[in-house]
Amino acid sequence: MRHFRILYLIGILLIFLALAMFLASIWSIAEQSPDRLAFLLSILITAATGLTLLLYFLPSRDKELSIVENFTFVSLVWFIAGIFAALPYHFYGVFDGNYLQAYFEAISGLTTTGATLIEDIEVLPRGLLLWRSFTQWLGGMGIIVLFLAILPKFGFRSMTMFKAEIPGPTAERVVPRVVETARLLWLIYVVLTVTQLALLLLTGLSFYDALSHALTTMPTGGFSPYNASIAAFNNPMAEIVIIFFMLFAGINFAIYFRLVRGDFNVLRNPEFKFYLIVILIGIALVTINTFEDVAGGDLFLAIRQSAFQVISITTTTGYATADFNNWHNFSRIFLLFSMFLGACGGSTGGSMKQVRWLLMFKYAYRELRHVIHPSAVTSVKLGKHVVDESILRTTMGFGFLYLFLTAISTLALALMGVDTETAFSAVAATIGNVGPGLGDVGPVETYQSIPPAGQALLPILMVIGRLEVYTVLVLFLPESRRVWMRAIKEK
Amino acid sequence: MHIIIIGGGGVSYELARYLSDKKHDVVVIEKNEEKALRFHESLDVMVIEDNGANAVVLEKAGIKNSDMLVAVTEADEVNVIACMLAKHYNVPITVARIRNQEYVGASSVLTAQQLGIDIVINPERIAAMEISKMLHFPDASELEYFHRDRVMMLGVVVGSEAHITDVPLKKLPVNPDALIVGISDADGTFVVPSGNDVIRPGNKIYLIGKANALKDISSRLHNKRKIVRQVTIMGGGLIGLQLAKLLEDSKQYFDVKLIEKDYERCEHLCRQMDSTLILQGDATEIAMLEEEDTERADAVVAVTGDDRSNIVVALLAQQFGVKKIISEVMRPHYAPIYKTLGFESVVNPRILAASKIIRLTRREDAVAFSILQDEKAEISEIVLPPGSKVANKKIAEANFPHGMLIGSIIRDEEVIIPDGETVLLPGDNLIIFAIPEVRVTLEQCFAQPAGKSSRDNLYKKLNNNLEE
Repeated sequence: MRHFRILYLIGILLIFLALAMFLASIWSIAEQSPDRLAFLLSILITAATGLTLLLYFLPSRDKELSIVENFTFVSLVWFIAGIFAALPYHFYGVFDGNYLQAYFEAISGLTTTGATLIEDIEVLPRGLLLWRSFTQWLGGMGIIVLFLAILPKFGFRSMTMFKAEIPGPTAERVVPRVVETARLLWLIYVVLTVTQLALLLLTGLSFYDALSHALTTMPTGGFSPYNASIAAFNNPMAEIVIIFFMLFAGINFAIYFRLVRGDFNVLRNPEFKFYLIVILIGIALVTINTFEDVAGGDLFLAIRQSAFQVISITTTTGYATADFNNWHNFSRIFLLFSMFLGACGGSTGGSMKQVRWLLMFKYAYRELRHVIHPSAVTSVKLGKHVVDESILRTTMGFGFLYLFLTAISTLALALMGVDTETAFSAVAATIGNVGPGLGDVGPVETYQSIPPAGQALLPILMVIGRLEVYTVLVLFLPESRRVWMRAIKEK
Repeated sequence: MHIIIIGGGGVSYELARYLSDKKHDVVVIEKNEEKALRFHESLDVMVIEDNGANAVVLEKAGIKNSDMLVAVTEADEVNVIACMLAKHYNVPITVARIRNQEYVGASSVLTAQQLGIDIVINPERIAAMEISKMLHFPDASELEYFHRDRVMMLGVVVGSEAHITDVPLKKLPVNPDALIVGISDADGTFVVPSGNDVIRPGNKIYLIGKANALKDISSRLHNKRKIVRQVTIMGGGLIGLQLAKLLEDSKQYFDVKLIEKDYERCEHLCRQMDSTLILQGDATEIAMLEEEDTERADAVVAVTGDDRSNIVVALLAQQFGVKKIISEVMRPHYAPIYKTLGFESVVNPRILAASKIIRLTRREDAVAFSILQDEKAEISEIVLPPGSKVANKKIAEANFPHGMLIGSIIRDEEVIIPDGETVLLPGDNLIIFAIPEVRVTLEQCFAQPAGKSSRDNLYKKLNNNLEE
């Protein structure tokens, strides 16, 4: 029974999750804060469920998982991890027993979205908020990638899984073995996080503040333990550090690997250049637009605010140092559309990814040229490399599905009575793993204004967005359904 | 001289024909019976039907006493192995045709010398470079670069309205950037000019000088200033591919279209090109040519790999009113047909390659060496050795033979256009234009007085033999 092995693997995952909770609870144990009990209960339930699964289902090693099972496993991992990650919020009573809202908060963390339902965050104990930040850090590089990095081989199709979780149209192996690649990615991730932590401490932040933000910057998460987000510090140096680390988090991690190896040619990578150019243009436009109204003619302030907001939204982090919801409509809509850009493929950022836009532009240009040169044979190139037709097909399909899902979900929210701006921006900000939107879900608001049905829909969008649409949607293909019907009957 | 040629294709045939005409012992090694038979029947050479990259076969061909080995089979690898074997037997000169740049190009770890190859030859690349030159200088009939492209030799037909005609050369204003080194009549008389010679309209003159300046001068010798921008290449074979790449990499801007029949080949081309527009279709179809506005092309290059298609393409292009038509000639005996049809710019990859092999082996002391198309004169670049007779003398006093001119001197990276008062210093790079008759006298002028290595002597022997 192969599907049993999936449950076995999920058991292992839960044990890990319990360990992670324990790490986060150390702070509350040290502080003797009232959330200790909530953590204890959550750890016990998670570990017990994990152990039960481990003991009940044996890791049969007969065959590799099929592709459908692989995708099911990856999707299940995210939804199930959310169920357990929500327990500390639930037991502490953050949402007054509304488990759905706790689940929203947990999934928003794991998928590095950063959308929140907590109205007043500063009254919550620090240990619990650290757990909230920690979920983002875990989800940033990918749970499965972490799995692959730590666990020995379980006979699953590691490359398929790896691809399912690494964002971008092509998952690169920087070293020949997938497991090694996963380890290296995590190593780079940890090194960058620690560097940011050290730099934030230098700018005068307390250890707790520095840690909370270091844990949520590198995964492009955006959770902050303050209601006013980064604006709470009013510390320009810390803002600059965060600006740069958001930018770093949005770069393809393979580039770091090559840089460490001394290959500086990777800086000519076309996506990397496109990413920087897009961000620079964005900062310039928003600076000009907000120069008079918002910054009152203070050029430094205008640049500082625009750079922070543009980078935060484009990399899908979601921090805020200004309430851009009150800005000129041009800047608001510009930031809204930036939510669809996303960071580079292979980074921790969400949304559609710069490389996909680059490919879609090139594809469209090619189609235009075909109109006047019907017999032309052309290829789409990124730098010197020809992009495979299959990748182009996948990218176009991705673009369509992403925008189609956005449209359908916006309609659904509208049906629940949400206004146009809020509905559209809430969907864009959740499927793109950004966090804050416009209108009632703006940077100083929470998602509490969304009706319960919407609060159930948005976490699904977050996971779909985090797993890049295909991984989750393939499960709805008739073929996949048949595989599962058969499995259930056998049981 | 004993020369082994491996491979029985076009280049090898041209080479064997030339060398056996010059009374050399030529052994051709070719696996294919049919191809071997062609050599047997029409040439006075020995033919061995076997694999050339095999020591036993090479010994049978007399490699131990060979002076030269030319490996021009279709397979690069066989050519490399043959040359490595030849070096093992101490054959002084080895030549290999290498098409794949990865083996000996800039990206390769091993140099050609380490692979035992003295001279690497790539016929399609030579042809592509030749065509590229023609496109860069559509009004030049001959063109050669020296010293890292800084000095240029240009052959131009003088238009009737050029202001330098019908005046003795000494009365013309001195141009500081170029020198007229040769004048050729329509009836074939060739002179290395002195002050009293006169240029007539229709004469072809040869200039040597600074590359940048010559571009200007050449356009002034014409009634029409032609710049080629739109190029349509018909045929995406090796020449078409390399030509398109050369044009893409050129500093001058070209708008290049390439038409190729085979779809898979198109995809391959597409992967190699950046700005070239690859079109899939038959270049001999009028509909295709109309669809792509061929009448607006400044130049059409017919390199389909088949003479019949080339001729049809060239004729169609002419019909469309294209001014510059360049065609590749596959079978040498078709060349007159192209001329009869009025296509002056033709390129024959095989003859180009064969003659390059012959040229390269003629002189070793020269840094670069080239012969005019009609073989009326040779241009060579040499470094003046310290002990030579003419070092530290003024050109006027150096007692040079009549029939030669020093076109340019490169001293400390500066290009000098010399006159009689210029002093030749040891270490100067000299670009010398000379008629073949004075070569021996010239060599004495520039010779290093000390003893020569055996290798130099061998080259001398080779030179003398080839001159017979």
